[in-house]
Amino acid sequence: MQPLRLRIEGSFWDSLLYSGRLYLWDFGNRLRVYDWDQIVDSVADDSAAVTCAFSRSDLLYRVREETVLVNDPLISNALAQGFAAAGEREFAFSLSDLESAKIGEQDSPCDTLHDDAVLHFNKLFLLTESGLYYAGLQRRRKYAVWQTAERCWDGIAVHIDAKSGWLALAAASDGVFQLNVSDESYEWGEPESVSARHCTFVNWAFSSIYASSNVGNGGLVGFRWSREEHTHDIFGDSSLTRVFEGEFDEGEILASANIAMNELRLSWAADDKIYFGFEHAVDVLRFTQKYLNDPSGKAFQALGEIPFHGNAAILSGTGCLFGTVIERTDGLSVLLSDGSRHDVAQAPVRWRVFPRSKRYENQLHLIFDDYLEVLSFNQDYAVDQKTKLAGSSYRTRRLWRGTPSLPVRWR
Amino acid sequence: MATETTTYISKADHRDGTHTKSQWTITFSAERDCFTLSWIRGWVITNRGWGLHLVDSVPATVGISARSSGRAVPADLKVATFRGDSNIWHGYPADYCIHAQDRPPITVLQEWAKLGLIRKHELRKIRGSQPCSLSD
Repeated sequence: MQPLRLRIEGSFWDSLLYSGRLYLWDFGNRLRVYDWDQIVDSVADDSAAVTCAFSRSDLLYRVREETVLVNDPLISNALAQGFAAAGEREFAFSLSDLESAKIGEQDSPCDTLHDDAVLHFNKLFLLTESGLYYAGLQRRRKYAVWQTAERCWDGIAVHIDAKSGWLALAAASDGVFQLNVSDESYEWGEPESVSARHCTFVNWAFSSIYASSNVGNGGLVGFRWSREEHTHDIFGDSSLTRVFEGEFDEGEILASANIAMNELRLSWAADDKIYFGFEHAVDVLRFTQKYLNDPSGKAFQALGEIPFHGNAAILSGTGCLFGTVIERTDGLSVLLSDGSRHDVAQAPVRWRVFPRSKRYENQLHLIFDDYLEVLSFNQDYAVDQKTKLAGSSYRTRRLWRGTPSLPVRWR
Repeated sequence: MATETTTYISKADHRDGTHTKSQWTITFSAERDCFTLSWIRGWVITNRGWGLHLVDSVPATVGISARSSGRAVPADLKVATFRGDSNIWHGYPADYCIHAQDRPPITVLQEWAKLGLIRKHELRKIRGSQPCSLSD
């Protein structure tokens, strides 16, 4: 299944999708915020495929939840035809085309172009050369984001990722840091160091942090969830906290799965998968956090390898439901969950996925010199989640006791 | 009226194979020219500067990474960084993949991109401490 494409013309620096809004930075550090649902509705033409592709990826997984739906050939054929038809259409916009969907425009809350950014818990976190900043998101004000960001750390980091109220920060030779930002009073203190290993980028793997490095060994900074009996959430259940379980070097992880380390280029992870990029293949391991430090060795289990050839060096990688995205010096490769592969033949200015969103988990954003391209991959809902190699496993999780299981993504 | 003189000097530990220091592979004359270009172009901010060694307008290698960097093979370095104290300056090849503090500021990189010396994706990679060849 070919990805669906949506293009926005312009010279951009970054794009983020969050809670129905598209945040677009240009090279002049100007931030424009758009109603993303309105943009998608303007081209959907009642096509369920287009809607699912660009603004409601969650609906595909609801189809998946109901086995009788996904097994009905009428349903699955209709979806497949819908995606095929949508794949023939061109979705292209100029910035003037998007004026009616524009919610606001402002200077970015930081004075200089940011190095990295993430939207989490209704806040924008920006990494700049002078530290880590935050700005609140605003729904009913003239400016969609605070006009001036506040600095919460003057340390230097090169990459940021967020999950469940925590920020993970890659700080190159200064190691890996984390910061709990769930407190609405903004009294977060400073990030704490959790690893001294060199780290170029980070990915969340459940409540653990996978630290990847272009110059040294990557590794897992392991945490497990633990219930704090003296604090309770709104449902009366004991609150969850993260407990450090130790650091696991990529060599140690490979050895536990009986895989040799020769010719390893780079390792990365996302949720239940750890990926090892070798000279001719990507080896995939299943990560089961509850078995960290368990003598059974079940924490890291070899699943198989995906052929992956090419001379260009691997720079970074991440995982999401639809597969794993691998950035090379000359472009990107997406190893998809159905065993296929999609290549991008030029190096993007920036690329992003949104694995912890509710509705945009199927999207890959690519910024090139003159446009933003949104690729939507929609094969995964029909893939066996237990056996797929590439991509995080979709799971149904019960919200709280006494309720039927609901399709909830890891947040 | 007294005028201040800017002096550029060579530091031995970035040319003598010191284990923990990146090493210049261009001549001292080329190194000094690199600094001069940075100074003229305004790629110097307060007491730090960043430069490129341009060959036919394309960034060329200025040095190699320190042997202590942990790499199996020393990396070619194409960005130079300079430090000044009381108008006496010296420099070394910047290994920004190891040390985030050696990344050129975003404003300098934007200037390099505007001049066509680097591509936009290289600007993002340098700020992300990722390797890039600067010669695509």
